Amino acid sequence: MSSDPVDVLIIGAGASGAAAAWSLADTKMRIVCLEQGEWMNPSEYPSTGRDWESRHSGDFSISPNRRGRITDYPVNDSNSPIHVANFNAVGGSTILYNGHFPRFHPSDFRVKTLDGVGDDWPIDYQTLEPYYDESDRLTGVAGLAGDPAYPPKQEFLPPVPLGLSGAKLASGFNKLGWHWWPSDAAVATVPHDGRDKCINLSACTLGCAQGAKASTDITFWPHAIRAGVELRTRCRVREITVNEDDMATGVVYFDEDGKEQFQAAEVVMVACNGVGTPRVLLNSKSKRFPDGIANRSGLVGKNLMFHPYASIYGTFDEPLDGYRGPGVCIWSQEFYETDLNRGHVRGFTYECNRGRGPVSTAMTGVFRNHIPWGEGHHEAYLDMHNRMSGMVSICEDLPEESNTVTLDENLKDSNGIPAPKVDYTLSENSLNMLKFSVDRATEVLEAAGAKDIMTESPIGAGGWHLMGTARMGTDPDRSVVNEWGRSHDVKNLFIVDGSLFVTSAGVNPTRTIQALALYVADSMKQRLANLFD
Amino acid sequence: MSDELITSDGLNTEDQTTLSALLSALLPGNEQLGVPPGNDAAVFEDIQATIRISALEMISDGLDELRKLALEQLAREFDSLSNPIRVQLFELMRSTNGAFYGTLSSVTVQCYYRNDQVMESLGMEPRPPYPKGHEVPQGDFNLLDPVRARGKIWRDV
Ligand SMILES: Cc1cc2nc3c(=O)[nH]c(=O)nc-3n(C[C@H](O)[C@H](O)[C@H](O)COP(=O)(O)OP(=O)(O)OC[C@H]3O[C@@H](n4cnc5c(N)ncnc54)[C@H](O)[C@@H]3O)c2cc1C
Repeated sequence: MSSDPVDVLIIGAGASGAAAAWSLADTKMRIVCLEQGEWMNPSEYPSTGRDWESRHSGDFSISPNRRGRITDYPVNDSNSPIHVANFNAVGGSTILYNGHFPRFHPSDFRVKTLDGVGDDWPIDYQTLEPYYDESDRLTGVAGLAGDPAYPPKQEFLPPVPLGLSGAKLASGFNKLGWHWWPSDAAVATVPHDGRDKCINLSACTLGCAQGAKASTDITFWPHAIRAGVELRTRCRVREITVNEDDMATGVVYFDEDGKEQFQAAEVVMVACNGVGTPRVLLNSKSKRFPDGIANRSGLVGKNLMFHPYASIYGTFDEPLDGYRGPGVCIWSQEFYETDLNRGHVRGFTYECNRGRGPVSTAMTGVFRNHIPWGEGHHEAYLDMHNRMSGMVSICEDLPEESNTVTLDENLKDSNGIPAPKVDYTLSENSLNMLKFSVDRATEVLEAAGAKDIMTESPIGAGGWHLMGTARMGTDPDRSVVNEWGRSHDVKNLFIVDGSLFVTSAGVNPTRTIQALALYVADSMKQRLANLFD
Repeated sequence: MSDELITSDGLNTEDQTTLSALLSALLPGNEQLGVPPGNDAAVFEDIQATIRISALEMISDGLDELRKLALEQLAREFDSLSNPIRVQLFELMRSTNGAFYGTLSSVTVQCYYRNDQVMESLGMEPRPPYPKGHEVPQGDFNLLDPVRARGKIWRDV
């Protein structure tokens, strides 16, 4: 088991791995990325077939346990009310993501100072701003300038359509005098960087057959590969090896044939997401690191944050867009900042998601007793078809050491590598925030004319944002990596994914994950001469 | 999923009869609305093919339970019952055999609402979303006037 060392070895080809690889490529170093998944073939995405909605519960399920592809690893999340959602392929979970693409706010980096909870980040909005801009250029972000919930930011592509659903929901927000704005979306609304424009397929969370949604297999990766990065698929990393000087020496991985291989590296960068990254680190046990590599703080796998989500939908008298459109529509940040009179600290974003497809409408109706079987079925169905719309609330999750990713004692993936185990409890603050968000959303829907409000809180399947399990910070006792992503304990080991997050904010994380990955890569480039000091 | 299930012959004749009787009760055809019954040949074939891939044994066992329920509770063959009674028995199984109720309900709506005739009755073209896509009106961004008028709401740090 030996090989020539590469300069930088990246584990994971999702949002963060792709961005870091692209940024580092201009150094002309030898960069290899190992990804357990495969390249996806958009011509096989569900929206190309009549059974597209059914594949949500099959090979394109958001749950790795349900999907069970050979490229997936199982997750034991039975001790969590929120279940892990991801995708394992080139592009990672962005293959299935919806493309809601908000930035963090300046206040999100200063939670401890402003509200006395969580911790402050070791960096601020201004630090990330140029990297947001750079990531946005590659991604192609649709949006409308001037959102009063944000400092001014550059906008690139025309906003996604309001549609009938967006206009209807906006009327509810307007009646109450509450903030709303067309959502920033990782969707090409006009042709962008070789990608075609969105044609409202509605199947964003099943992979975009049109190539309009910015999954990183079609944004960063083609550029990174052209610039010389080598991407090896079907390579699943078991552990990062380390020498007597506490320096990473490379990784042990299984290739497509299940053969164990070793790849030596000068620098190792982990980009496996908030569950996959602590799993790799915890599986990397050695004499020097009996509790897992880079874990002298004991914080690897701790402080897991999801965003607790609630879903609030209603039916309207008149037809709306139904499932047509990109999933992304409008958002509201009326309740984003702390107001303790609301019964919780911090806040949330509402994201309006248009409507549902014909099958999904029927499922919702039947399982929630809105549509009977037998007599009256068709009439009740027609009352819901193309008439449902609503929103989700994305609640800020605060870090708690008791919410963890550890290694399962029994469960293993197909290569025999211990699987992650998630233990997670919703805090009282989260429960209060969820309830408040459901109550206010009900008011918006009613103001917009909705009836038959349906809610789910928390969304059990909604563990799609994975954060906090290898947090950044300046204090080695209170954080896993420093303020530019380098492990405190292992000076040639970097982390670039959502594990870095100190707090979660009340918005989707991927725009910030990509900006952070670019920032870490750039910090490395600026220190190449003394990277390991 | 095992090869055995994929190549299996599917439901036996008795199960097919019960399933057909159940589907016609769950989803009665309606000429006025232009929708076929749930046991329409094309829908029925799609449902059987879907069951064959993923849930043959469970559905077969559930249909057997349904027949027994009819005999025990009403001393009648399931397929001789009226539509409302068939639906009632199926609804009973929601609590006694949730896996069967859930899976069959789910497969039924999946196959029914992707059927050509049903989609057409809903004013939809019977086709997958790609490559044609859909039109969505851009909308009137002047709706934002009150939001703009209110001004900045982000928090200074
Ligand atoms: C259904 C769904 C909807 C979402 N919607 C949104 C949204 O609207 N907006 C938003 O901002 N975010 C959304 N997200 C979240 C978003 O996809 C993630 O935040 C983002 O992809 C995380 O990037 P990452 O690089 O940290 O991890 P990922 O993109 O998950 O990539 C990690 C990669 O590492 C690989 N990997 C893991 N372990 C190993 C190993 N041992 N060896 C080799 N490779 C490994 C995996 O195969 C994977 O490809 C959504 C996610 C899902 C599932």
